[in-house]
Amino acid sequence: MKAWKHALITGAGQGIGKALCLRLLDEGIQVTSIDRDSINWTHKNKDKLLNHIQIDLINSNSVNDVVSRLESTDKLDLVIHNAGISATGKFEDIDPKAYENVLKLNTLVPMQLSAALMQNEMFDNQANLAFVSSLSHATGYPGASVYGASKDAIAIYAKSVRKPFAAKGVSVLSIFPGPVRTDHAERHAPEGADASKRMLPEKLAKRILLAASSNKKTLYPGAAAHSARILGKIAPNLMTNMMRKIIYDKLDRPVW
Amino acid sequence: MINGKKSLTLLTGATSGIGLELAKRLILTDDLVVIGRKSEDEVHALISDKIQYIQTDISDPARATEAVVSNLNDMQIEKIDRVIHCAGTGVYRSPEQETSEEIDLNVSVNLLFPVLLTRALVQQIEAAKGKVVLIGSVAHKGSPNMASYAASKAGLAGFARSLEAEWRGRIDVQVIHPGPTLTPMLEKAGYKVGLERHIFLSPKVMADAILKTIHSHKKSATIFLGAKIKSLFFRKQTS
Repeated sequence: MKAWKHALITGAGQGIGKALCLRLLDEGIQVTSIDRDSINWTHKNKDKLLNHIQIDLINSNSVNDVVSRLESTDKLDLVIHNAGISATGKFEDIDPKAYENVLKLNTLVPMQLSAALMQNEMFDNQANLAFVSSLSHATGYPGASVYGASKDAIAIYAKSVRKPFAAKGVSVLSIFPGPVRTDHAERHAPEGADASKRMLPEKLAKRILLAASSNKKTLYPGAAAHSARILGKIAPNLMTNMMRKIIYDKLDRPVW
Repeated sequence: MINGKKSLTLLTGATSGIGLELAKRLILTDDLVVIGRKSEDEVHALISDKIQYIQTDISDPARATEAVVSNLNDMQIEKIDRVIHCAGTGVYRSPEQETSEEIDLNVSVNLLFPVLLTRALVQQIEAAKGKVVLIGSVAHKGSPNMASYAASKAGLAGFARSLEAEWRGRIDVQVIHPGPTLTPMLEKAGYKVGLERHIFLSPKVMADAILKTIHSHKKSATIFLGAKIKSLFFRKQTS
């Protein structure tokens, strides 16, 4: 793993974000974490190396607040936009406010924060910038069309900025995880869904950091993600229909 | 129905560029409700005084959606055959120079407003067994000098893909990606058109091709070279 000096991880309170922080702290890397909640997990290096910014990124002006809190810190050489929320259910059953929040947190804020970090020259030389999209980018997502849209949008943002950001010394990684065993996935899955097939967040965190270390452009973690990506490419309609059968037709309740 | 025509179309972005050309064509066949920011007089002069006009600023998508819904209620419109989301905005510059406000505007206008408006009008569209048409962009596959614009259009394409699968058999959903077109948006976006203007389409040619696609059953379509070649061969009919 690359010897980063200062990492910024959003959505650090639980799930993938927590696993990323723990692994970086293991390596003695200084971490600034962002979450709407306080950090309730512990680590032996937490007091020494973790600087937590408790802020709800959905709030307007959150990006400016984060940038001003970062001004007095060391430059960043690893930024992972991990914070995300979903809204699952029939399109017409979900509160429109939830759609606003999904697009703000998953799409708008990562773009604004990335551009602001660039403008304020907050990236160190040879930094890594990663965006957590979703495997749904390869397939479509009936039953979560706006979540799917938010993850398609951020995937294309990452693809669009890759060359211009590389010219400024920032290497961009797009991550397309399938289901991960987190509280978040649990909340949105139909009742009785098999959680054992979901990837462990610790395993995903390890793969993300490895991919970033070697300046990879994209990461489809796991064999299932790989096959879904390939099938999505050669038979997009078939994949979207399959998603309808395995997700939309089994929806038992709207969740946001 | 407003003028007693066969079907009713709701159109956003109808006051310039491709949307304006679409409006001029649709008013010949449909009852037309138009959403825009310009004054009513201006819009009547631009399109026709036969349209119904809802004046609102879609850079605030939640408020604009409320305004559209309450206006439609006042007009006693309970069925909408087609909603065409044509309003769009963009800025042409390198991604590290995009400001938070510009990125916000792109997401609000190009993605959030179509989502919220579609969500608000489900009943009226379903009552007519209608169709939702989303105007995307060829940039939805990525563009280094319009990164947040490309992202917002990718989001729109993804929204269409998932919603189409969700609503199949109930409400049609279609996304149409226009190629480069000589519209006022280009100038507003700060794009200087050079020699490549010769391969760009005119808004008129584009509007003709889009209308033809709307009447087809395609789930998604990209309009560029085919329409350009046709326009070169059949100049009289299209320009």
